[in-house]
Amino acid sequence: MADINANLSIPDVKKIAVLANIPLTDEEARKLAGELTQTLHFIEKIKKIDTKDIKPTSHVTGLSNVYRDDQISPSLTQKEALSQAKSTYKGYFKVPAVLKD
Amino acid sequence: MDLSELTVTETIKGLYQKKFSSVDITRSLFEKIKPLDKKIKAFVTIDSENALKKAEEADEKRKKGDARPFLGVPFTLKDNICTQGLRTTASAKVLENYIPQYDATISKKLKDAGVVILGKTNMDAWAHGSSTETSDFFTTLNPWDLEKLPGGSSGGSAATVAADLTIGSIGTETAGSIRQPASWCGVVGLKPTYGRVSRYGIISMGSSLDSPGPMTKTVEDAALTLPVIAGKDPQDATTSSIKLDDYLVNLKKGVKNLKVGISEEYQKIAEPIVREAVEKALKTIEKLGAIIVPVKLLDPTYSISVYTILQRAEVSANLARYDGIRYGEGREKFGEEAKRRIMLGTYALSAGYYDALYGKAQQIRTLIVEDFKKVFQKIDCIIAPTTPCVALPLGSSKTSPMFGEVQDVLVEPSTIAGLPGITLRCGFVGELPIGIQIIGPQFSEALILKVAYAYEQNTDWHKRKPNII
Amino acid sequence: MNNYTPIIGLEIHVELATKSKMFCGCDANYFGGKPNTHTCPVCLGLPGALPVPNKKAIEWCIRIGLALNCEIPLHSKFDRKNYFYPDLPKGYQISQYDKPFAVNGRLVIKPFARGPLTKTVRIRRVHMEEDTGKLIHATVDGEKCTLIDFNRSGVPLVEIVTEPDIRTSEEARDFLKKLHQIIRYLGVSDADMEKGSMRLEPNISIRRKSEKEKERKGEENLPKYKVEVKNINSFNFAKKAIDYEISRHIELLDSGETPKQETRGWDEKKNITYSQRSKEEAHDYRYFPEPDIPPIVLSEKEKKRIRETIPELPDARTERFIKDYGLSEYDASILIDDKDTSEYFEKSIQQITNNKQQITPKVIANWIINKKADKSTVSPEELIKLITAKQQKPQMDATDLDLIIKKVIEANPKAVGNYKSGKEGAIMYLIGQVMRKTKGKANASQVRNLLTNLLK
Repeated sequence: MADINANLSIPDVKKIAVLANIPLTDEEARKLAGELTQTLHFIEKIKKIDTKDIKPTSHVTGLSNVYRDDQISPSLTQKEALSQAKSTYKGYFKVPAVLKD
Repeated sequence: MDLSELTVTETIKGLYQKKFSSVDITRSLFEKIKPLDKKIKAFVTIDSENALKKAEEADEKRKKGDARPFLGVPFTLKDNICTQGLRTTASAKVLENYIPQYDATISKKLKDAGVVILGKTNMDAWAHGSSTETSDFFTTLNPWDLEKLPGGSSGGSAATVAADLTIGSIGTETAGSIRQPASWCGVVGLKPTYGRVSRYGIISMGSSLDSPGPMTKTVEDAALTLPVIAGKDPQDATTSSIKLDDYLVNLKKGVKNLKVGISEEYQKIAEPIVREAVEKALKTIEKLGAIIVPVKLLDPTYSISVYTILQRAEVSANLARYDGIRYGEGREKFGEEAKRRIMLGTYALSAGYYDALYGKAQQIRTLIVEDFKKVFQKIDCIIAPTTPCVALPLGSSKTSPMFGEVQDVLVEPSTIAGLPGITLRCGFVGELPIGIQIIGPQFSEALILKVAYAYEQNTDWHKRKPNII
Repeated sequence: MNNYTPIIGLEIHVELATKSKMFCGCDANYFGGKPNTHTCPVCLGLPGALPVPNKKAIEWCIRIGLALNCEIPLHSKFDRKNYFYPDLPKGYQISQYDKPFAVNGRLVIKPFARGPLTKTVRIRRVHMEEDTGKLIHATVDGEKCTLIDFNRSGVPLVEIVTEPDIRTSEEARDFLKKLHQIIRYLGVSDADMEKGSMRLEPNISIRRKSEKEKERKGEENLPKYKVEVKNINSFNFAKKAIDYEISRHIELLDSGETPKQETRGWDEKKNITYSQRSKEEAHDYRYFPEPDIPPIVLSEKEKKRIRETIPELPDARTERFIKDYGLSEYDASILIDDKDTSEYFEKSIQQITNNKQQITPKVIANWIINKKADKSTVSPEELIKLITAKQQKPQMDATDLDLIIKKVIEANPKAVGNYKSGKEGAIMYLIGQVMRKTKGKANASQVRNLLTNLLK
């Protein structure tokens, strides 16, 4: 198990920001490095708890196999779908050119 | 008679007996909102025109024999609950101008029940916090003392109920966001079992934790309101199909021979004055016939870490959809707190750290779930302070990046396990209310409401009103 | 080439033909629809919307897994795969990470064209996910931009991943054809590659053959790099892309370089692959269990029920055609190639048993294989009538025909000479002469047989 790297550097923060798609100024990155490190030190406490052979819980409801039947229900109209967008064109959402894949 | 002071119960009764109309109540509420909300700043959006129209329609329908109990009863909604056609912002700049194309399931249920929506209440942006100070717009003030925080994230909802700016309100809790502001504002806050109330259309925070619930003036109001919003929702796969209890019928059955657990691990975290109030309350409950049983629970401070990791991780994914393409503003508009949470969550899930952070937190979650299960074999419910202290001064949240988590330490274990909890007043420190919470096993809302009701009805705390109103 | 062994794996995405989308009730049949008319809060990723999985899609995914001889684990779950792209409305794709619906399968391919050898390709996993929206690159008001249509967003998508067991581009093509056939037989997708409902992604690397090298299995034996070619929409392009990559890698390795681990695109006009620089940065998808969807537990009973919905698959049908109808392996394999054709054949067979006519399955098979009748316009019943009419044509007396043929041979020494010198087309002229003399009474193929015999 990788250990918690509890001391985040500014480059670490910038790397995370790329993954998180969060634009950061240098000043913000510097501040975040300190704050995130503080939080990580705080939560490090969990290391003390022995969790060997303990199963993880991602759902507390005990539910399983919750489905819907394959039935069509009404969609939004095109107008509704586009109503909150900043930029649209002929029924499409419009964004600055992204690289062709 | 000041109609704004009505409880849900009184409103329903009065409307039925034609003592007043929905328009009467709605008008008197707006008359109060107008001057008072300038001071308290509980609302992000006030929808007076539409609310009055709905109130008129409700009165018309009632005249024609429509007997739906909630027809014409005014409510406020936390601003992370989508309301079709009515701006919903989660108090975040990113969604400042967002007008939802659809209703959250609970918005629809409330509308179907005939509820009049007065407006949307302020909160910590994206529900990230316990103060409303992270709201991208403004901070709500505590109606009991305008220099104090209302708590959060459902601080706006709590303040509207406490200041009689509404009859009832709906908040949401991930860990503490109903109970903590309810405690600080001295109102009743019911955080239902995870899966009891649909999350569909509620701007997601921690998806495995989020639970919407009533915030009201009395315990009976909470019991009346819960069934309006609760139940299986085909659009939320995590809602339970377990039948709703008849909360109202159960309410008055008393606490005789109920085993109430008290845990030193929780008591010792509270400030002495809060602890004393809770101990006094336990004596009252004991006098009513309950048996107080000391129990040992896992140290709740571990839950701060577990909760922080789980919630940040889920937040990092839940806020990924806000890219400014289909609605809202771009990601540069996220506030500081949202950025901190997204960043930490991203880190906790990233390659190499998942096992040590997210994976480990989920394993401890199992231990917490089992800990409660074990304790609930011996007792019926747990009583504890809701918050370690009463409302703190404005600005308090700015001192620590984990302010909320620390304030919410006493509700985090139960929320991590998906359990229901209810908070109500159990005393005052000066003008500031103290909150006591009752936690029960999953789907035991009827039980905790019953205990809360018995205590409330045998004390006078609920009768006090803030000086401001 | 001889110094190297190609190591090829395949990833195939198949859009399911369910009525509604994977996690919402929008009409999944988006093809040709006006942009953004098949969307709702869920597939548009509106604030607060939640997914609820489509039961049929999950069943169909498992059906594919079972048809590929996979194990269906008791516990499955959905996970969030986090990455940002404008066509992904939620900022994460709901997919499956460590507990897919089907694992450890295999598919045996029997390429008839290449002898009796069979080849087993192991299937690593079959999992369920959702499709993304569609990006259109355009120029609006003189500015380059990207337009987005979310009609496809949330359409159920099954991903099939093989182990890197494939060694030639032909094998890859054969595998893909066979898989396509199975998907069509299962009735879970139209698998139309032009419409993009089946998308192919080969991954290729090559390994230097060492002196003693045997086909050893195992990770340590795989090259340290892998090149993925994305979103190919035909079997032939897949084959060409693999061939192109193999020679590109050989060239690099021969000059002492190691090919870069990367994702490449396929340029179908130039028949080359090209580097997709935008996608090179290392991905960290931060998978975690989808909190909005409770886990899935598949009991033996449920698996059995789904298994029972699997129709007869191509291999079984080929064998049955050989056994029950006495067809050659070749004829049978051609008939079953397309599900509709094989069903047309069987319906035609039923017509003869009904009518008690003396038409053999072999004759019907020939008619269908040689496309003497168009199955889209001729019903099985009509086909049998046509064959019957043809067969009822008065047969010529054998001796008369023999005599006429001999006369034609004598009268046309030039054509006969041409034929004998190898111009096979000359026989058509001779057949024509015979047919004219018999006033069309003779059977052309019978005439052909007699002629070729006599001219040997």
